[in-house]
Amino acid sequence: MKKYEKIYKELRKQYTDEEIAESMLIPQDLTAEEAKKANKELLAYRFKLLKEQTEEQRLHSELLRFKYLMEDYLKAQTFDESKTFGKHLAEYVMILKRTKKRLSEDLDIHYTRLSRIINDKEEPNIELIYRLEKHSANLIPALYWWKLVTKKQEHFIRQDTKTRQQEGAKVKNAVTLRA
Amino acid sequence: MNLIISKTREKLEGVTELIENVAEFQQIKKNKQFLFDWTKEQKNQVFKIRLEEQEEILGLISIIDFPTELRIHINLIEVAKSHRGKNKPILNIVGCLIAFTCKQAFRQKYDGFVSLVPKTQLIDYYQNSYGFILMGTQMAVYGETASSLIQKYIGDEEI
Repeated sequence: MKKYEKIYKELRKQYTDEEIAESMLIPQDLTAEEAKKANKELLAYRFKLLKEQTEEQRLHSELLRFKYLMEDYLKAQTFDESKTFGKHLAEYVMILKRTKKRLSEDLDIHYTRLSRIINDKEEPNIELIYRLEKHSANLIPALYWWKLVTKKQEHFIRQDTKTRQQEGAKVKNAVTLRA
Repeated sequence: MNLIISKTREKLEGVTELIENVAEFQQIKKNKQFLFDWTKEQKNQVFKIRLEEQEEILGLISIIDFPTELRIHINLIEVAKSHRGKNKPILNIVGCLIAFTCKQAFRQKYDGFVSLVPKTQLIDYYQNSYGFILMGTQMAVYGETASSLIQKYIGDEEI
């Protein structure tokens, strides 16, 4: 008897088909030739789907990829200069296949300001974050965009000993605590 | 992840991790909770799912990346014995593992395309429960359906 067929028959004595499917994927026992044929069939479907993919479907897939990679970055411990809010916004523009001018109109912000944000010369405000959430059909949550900003700020605070010392020097009557 | 306690319907946080260590495959082989010989899946990518802050493996998935075909293939899934059957304490383990794979397939620019070849008797279940469609001998999920599975079983991650 084939390998998986044997396991299936054993399980069937104890579980219903639904219970089996809810707890495992038992593959079909395919011969090398059958597997090759199955792969060829699937490949034909796969490329047919790609050929017929609409712009809306492309956009949906690309935005989800963008979102999941953003999630991975936000969950990682390290700050990356190439993954700032500005860099993400530049990638968003590319995914949409729109110009920066068009996006600035969509978001109702001045083109120069959008350019400055994309080039990391200015940080966005919360209002812009909400607009971006809405603009992405709520696919990219406002909080994700915002955390790109705070991740950069956190990195800056960790590194910035100079300003910390300068500002510390301006403080009078600091609270004193005995250890 | 939307792992659910079946009695209370309470949501539990799950973690999915790649198994890279040969010793861990050996431990799984000795573990009476799993029926399949998972050491044979070492050539593929094998992930385990567990509850946050708990070591017990709830389930395993073996996947194969086909970059030239723009898809990820699920070779095998198995839920631990104590989480099978009508009295299983935690729901959605398989759903979470499939959704995890769909997410990976979006990350890799495959449009969330995930394939599998279940036993003929179980085809209907994959069709009705997860939206897989038959494409010849194999079944696949992609695009909107893959995205819906991610929303249902994983949702937006806590970041």
